[in-house]
Amino acid sequence: MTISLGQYIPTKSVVHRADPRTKFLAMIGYMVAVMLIETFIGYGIATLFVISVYLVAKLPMKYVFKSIRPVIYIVLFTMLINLFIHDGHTVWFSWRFITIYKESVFYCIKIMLRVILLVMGASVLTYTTASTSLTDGLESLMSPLKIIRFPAHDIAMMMSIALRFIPTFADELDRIVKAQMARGADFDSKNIIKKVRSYIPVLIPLFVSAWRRAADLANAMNARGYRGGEGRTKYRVLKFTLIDLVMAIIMILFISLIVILRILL
Amino acid sequence: MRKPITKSLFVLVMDDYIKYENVSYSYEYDYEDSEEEELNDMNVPRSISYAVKNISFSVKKGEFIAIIGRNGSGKSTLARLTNALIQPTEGKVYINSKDTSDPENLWNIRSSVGMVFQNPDNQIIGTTVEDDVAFGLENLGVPSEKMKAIIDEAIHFVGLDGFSEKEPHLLSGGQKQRVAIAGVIAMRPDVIILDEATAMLDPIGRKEVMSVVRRLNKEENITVLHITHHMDEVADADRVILIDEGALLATGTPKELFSQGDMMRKAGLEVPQITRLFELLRESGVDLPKDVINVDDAVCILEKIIEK
Amino acid sequence: MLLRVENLSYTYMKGTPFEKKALDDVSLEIEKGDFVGIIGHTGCGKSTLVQHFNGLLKPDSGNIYINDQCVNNSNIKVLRKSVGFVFQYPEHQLFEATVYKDIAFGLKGEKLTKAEERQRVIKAATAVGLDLSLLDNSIYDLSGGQKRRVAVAGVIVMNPDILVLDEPAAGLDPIGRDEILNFIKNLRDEYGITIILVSHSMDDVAKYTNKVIVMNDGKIEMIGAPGKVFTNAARLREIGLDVPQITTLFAKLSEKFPEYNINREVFTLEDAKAALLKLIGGEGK
Repeated sequence: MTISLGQYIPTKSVVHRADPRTKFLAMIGYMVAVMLIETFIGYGIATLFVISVYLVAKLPMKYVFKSIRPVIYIVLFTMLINLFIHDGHTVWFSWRFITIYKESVFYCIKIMLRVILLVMGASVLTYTTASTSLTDGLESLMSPLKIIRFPAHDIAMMMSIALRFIPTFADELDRIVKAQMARGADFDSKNIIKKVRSYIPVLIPLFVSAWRRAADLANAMNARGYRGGEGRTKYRVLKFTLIDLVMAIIMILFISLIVILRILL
Repeated sequence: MRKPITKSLFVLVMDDYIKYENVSYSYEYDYEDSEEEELNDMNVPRSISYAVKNISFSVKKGEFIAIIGRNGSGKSTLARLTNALIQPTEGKVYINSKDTSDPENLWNIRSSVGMVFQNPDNQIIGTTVEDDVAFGLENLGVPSEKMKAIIDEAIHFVGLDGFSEKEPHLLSGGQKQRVAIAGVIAMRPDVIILDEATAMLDPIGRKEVMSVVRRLNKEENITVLHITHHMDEVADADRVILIDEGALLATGTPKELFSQGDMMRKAGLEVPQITRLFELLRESGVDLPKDVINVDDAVCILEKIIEK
Repeated sequence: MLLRVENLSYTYMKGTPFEKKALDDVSLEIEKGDFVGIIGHTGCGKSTLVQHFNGLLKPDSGNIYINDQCVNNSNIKVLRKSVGFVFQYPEHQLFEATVYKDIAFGLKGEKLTKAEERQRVIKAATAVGLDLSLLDNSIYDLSGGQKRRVAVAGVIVMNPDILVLDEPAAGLDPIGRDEILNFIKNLRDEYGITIILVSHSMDDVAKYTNKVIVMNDGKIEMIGAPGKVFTNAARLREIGLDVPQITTLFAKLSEKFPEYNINREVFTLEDAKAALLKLIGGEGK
């Protein structure tokens, strides 16, 4: 069983080459900007912007949809709820106790656009940044917090180990499920309680194995001279380049545009 | 067969790179957390069981040593005593004249004694091959700009050129173990310990790993301590150390040990099939040597008998 | 015919870049009372093949017949009971509080009385040579070898006709290997369970099986009695497998002395001893 980890797509574009810290900050800036948008013109600009980022990053357009797919049901569900409970002035449709207003339709479309834009933007980061540089970037961004004894290195190390072990545990889960099925375990039960109970024979061995692996890994790390972040050098050195400067300028322009739009309209 | 324990003074001959002096280890001494101490306070009399009992021997630089013994005989404990992952309860272990129980030597010893463990999945830390090989170098504080060359060299040595950016879970067992070896040799150790590193591999994986280890030993003069259940891997060693119930039962060349089938079986092990066959033939009155451990030697000897 | 596989094909991760043809048009037959060894290096398709035997995987094409019944979605649960499956490192799937409960786990669906259940558990524990005084112990108090026995008992408690074991001796020392393989042999001899042993150890396969299936690259490379299969030593080495030392010895001797008509199909110690005594005794002394 193979699981493609994260969703890194190595197309080697400029966006890929940018420093992960820049991308991380750019993503936060972009998200704040999207939250500020209130008009359809704003949404139009943001959509154009994010699509051009996909083009520059050489990401095939099918990944736009791939990024949205996991959240599509949540989006549709919130839309539906809002459609019925949101108030407005102009009635578009009315039947018995159901009334749908023009304002609530617009509101729902905006919510949908906002969520989709947020997810699309965040996905650019995971599509263009390998998990190692992602954790390196985070560690570096968090490192000023070391002054207040925030364990930046340890958290980054934990994240990187977690990423490394996801496929291992996926394989293990597959094996344990099959082993228990071979012993007559039934995972197809319709009854929710029974279904949850049926996973106990899977979760306990998985937990025991995680424990054993953790002990082994700690040993292996010790044997290779690991003693925390102190005095440690890094193989991957993060460096800001011209790409990052250009990216920062573009981001600042984009955010300014959104802010100006918000003030003017 | 037990090797006499030399109670001589601590004359550390330069030749002896690793030296075990009356080493014992009990896991029961190891508890430091308060919970366990409370247990001890209850004055429950309990017999101390030793995982390693009064072991003394030494290893010269560049030797290829096989350590054998049944499961739970104390082999892994011995391995972990050697790179200071644990310290002896009694006795001393010296690596290049440095005492492993002196905390000052800890990091120095761990960087000069590398270790490869049994489960390939549980010792790879990096999310790519090169990141994993870099892990030890990062811990040593090697300057970033120097790492790339060292990493490439290590990856080349284990024959994984072109795999640098691969994720470990896409590799075979033998490849994963070679990544682990690359991670160790990047740190330029003098000794490499393989703690049943071939146990979970298939024959191809075992061959890949053993050929890398043999080259490390021959070309780089790295001392190898190889813990294994596979008697065909033992046949290559300069010297074999047989351990049972924590104690050193015998030491000698592979031929010397394999020629004592009864002792091997008593220690829960087997001799190679050929050696066993000759043993059976001797029991039936055929005059054959005891120390035949591979097929080619056996063919030579049988040839002479048949031709007569 | 107890188990028959016809033109079985299976592809992993179909339609993705990771697509891999694991089985390619495999056909075979296994008779009641067989002790079959399936060998091949990692990734040759042997694990994929045996996972089809009790419906853990469903074939892309081809059919599997158990007792001449074709396995399909409607009867899969019935047939799963007739094929027991022991995975690699089976001790890792134990989870109940006690040994007894863990062995009894597979009986949950059968609606047995307490007495019947106890009887079945005891029978299974005895079959794997487990000390019955351990039944009420916690599984975490057992040694590695004992845990593995418990795991096998947890499968044979369901009274399978066929028992598939994937590398049952992995990670054990030589004596542990012999112990576990001996009780597996006993399961066939005393309890009449047909055994399918998946392994990459030629020595184990040579010692215990009466039929060997060699897999390579998703296909069956050779099939037959161990002696016959081992005579193709060169090809076996080519596909990453070892041949028992004794077989190599006899191959070399027969090359050196073609005039003696030395039997090349020798692979057990007893046969080798007898053959060599005859050879040396008859000619030399």
